[in-house]
Amino acid sequence: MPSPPLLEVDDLQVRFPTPAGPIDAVSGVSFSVSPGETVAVVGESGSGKSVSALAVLGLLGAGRVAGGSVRFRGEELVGAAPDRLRRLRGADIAMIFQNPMSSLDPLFTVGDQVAEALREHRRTPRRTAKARAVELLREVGLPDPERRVRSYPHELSGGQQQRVMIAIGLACEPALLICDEPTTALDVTVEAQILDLLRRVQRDHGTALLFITHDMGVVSELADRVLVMYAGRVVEHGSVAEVLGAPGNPYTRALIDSIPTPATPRDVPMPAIAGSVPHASDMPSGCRFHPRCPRVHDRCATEPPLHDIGPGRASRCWLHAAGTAGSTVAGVRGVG
Amino acid sequence: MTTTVPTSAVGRTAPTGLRAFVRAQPLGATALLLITVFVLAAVLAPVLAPHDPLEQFRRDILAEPSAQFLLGTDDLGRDVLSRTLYGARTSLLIGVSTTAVSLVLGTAIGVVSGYLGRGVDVVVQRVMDAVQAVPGIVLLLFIAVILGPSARNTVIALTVVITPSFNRIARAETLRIRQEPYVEAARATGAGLPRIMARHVLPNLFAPVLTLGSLIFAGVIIAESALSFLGIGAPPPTPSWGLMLSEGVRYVTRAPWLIIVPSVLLSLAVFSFNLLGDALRDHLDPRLQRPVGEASGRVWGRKRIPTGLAPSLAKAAEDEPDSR
Repeated sequence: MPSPPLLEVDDLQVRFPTPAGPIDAVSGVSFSVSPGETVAVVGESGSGKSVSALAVLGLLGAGRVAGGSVRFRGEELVGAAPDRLRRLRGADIAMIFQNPMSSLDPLFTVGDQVAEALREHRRTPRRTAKARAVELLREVGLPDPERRVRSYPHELSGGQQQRVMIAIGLACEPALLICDEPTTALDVTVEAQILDLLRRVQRDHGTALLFITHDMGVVSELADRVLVMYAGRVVEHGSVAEVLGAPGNPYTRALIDSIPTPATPRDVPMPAIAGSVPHASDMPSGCRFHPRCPRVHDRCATEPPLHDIGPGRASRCWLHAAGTAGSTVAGVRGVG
Repeated sequence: MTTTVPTSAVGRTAPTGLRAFVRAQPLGATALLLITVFVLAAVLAPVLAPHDPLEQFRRDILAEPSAQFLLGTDDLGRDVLSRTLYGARTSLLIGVSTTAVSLVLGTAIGVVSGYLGRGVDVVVQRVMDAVQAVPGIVLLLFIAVILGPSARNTVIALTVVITPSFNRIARAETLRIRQEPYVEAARATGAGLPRIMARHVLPNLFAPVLTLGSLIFAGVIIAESALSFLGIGAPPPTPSWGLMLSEGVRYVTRAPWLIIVPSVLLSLAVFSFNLLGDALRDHLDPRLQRPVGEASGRVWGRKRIPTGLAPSLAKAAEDEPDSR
């Protein structure tokens, strides 16, 4: 990347206490986001995507960062003073969540909630904040914002609610917007509109997006680079075209193969990855994907490192190791 | 696609406050009216009462209702109407102030304890457990005996007994609310602890606390009568509804008006407060709004949509394609 990264996450480890002892939801996760760039994080449920994002904001709740570093504009956020983090949140790094309905306080009008962010960070006077809220709602494409500013969340549809969440996120013009599966709860048509909106916002403001999703379609539409996570680890990262076009890791391959297409035969079971993501308390030894991997072999008993398999591209699999044929998974080239 | 919501349905400014409340909550408004009457009767007791509540008419003991004594007299020949009016003072004062003080105190303790969690929570809740572990009446007796019988000390004793109930509800609701995505979203926009408490936690736990308050109020008036009956509440001959009830029970066959009058009023007062509590709860929740009139954008303002049509209309304004 030519410009210095906006966000650098290095060897992040997040630990949650449980009655059975501490478990690591995320370990050894590294990535960076440059200004204006869109980085997607994909993986199944429980792969540690959301935890990584929350760790950036210091919003882990019961968990804590047990190791590694998170730097924003070069400033270390792990161990930063709570007040410093609070001032960054919303102002420089904003986040929008999966379920817009429950992410809005039901007792306040949407205008109030957009204005709240402004009043918190900029000490904007009430009237100015209200006017700015109308502007923001117009910008995110909420119809008739002068009137809608006085609507309560339950009066809006899911897509409109998510637009409001985006307006709240944009209120202080953050340099980084973290989107945690913002379209998962929405219809496909609405999803397309929200993705359009995010793209437009990014173009107009140069906002960097850290986009968490489990939808490969969304990744290919929106992201510049992609980070594939499995069981708390990064298993592959690289540019979207490369990773989706020629996945290096069997897990990425399997994810892409799971996407049904019109050509998917109807009379056989849908392609799916057998089994489910192991729980962090019951992690398989060696490669974490090996119990489910179609290409499992002897070396998978020890955990593979991330192998560089191209410029800005790496994959965590022994198949790339010297002596193993092929740098991408053999026989599965071609777009899924 | 432009919005299909009729202008009248969403987002116009409208009268707030009392007028809106009366129109939206006729039952609650009736309750409010009744309560106002009770309060006026209590305040104006010296003006309204035909006799001194303590004056004994020796020749008219247990007299039936008549022109001279509209609601009859009691076993000491005192005018029941006058005693009822003065009794409203004691009963309402103790009921309202006890409920109000313990509501504020219990909610504050519960919210702080629930939100901070950990050590603070453990210590505070064990203290509350200890208070609740002692049977209410024993604790009341204990405090009342130490402080001596008076209306003020009754309020203090009842407050100590009741505060843990509000604390429980407020703490439980706080534990629920702090898990809500909108609290996480607020934290993600950089809201600090005081702002989250004031803007998100308190308003959202208002409904259950208010409901509990209207129930507790009834209990307080009844508890006050029990204390008076045991001679450690407001001391006789101070008239109070509870005291009148417990004294009148002895003459229930000869002079039923002695318990009918205070018990009917007690029931009405309790019922009114319950209705008012329910109506307020509905009124303050934008999701439970009723049809009439128009809407306002204020936090506690009203937002009204035609019932039945509301969800379909609001949702009918589906997402527009981006207007660039």
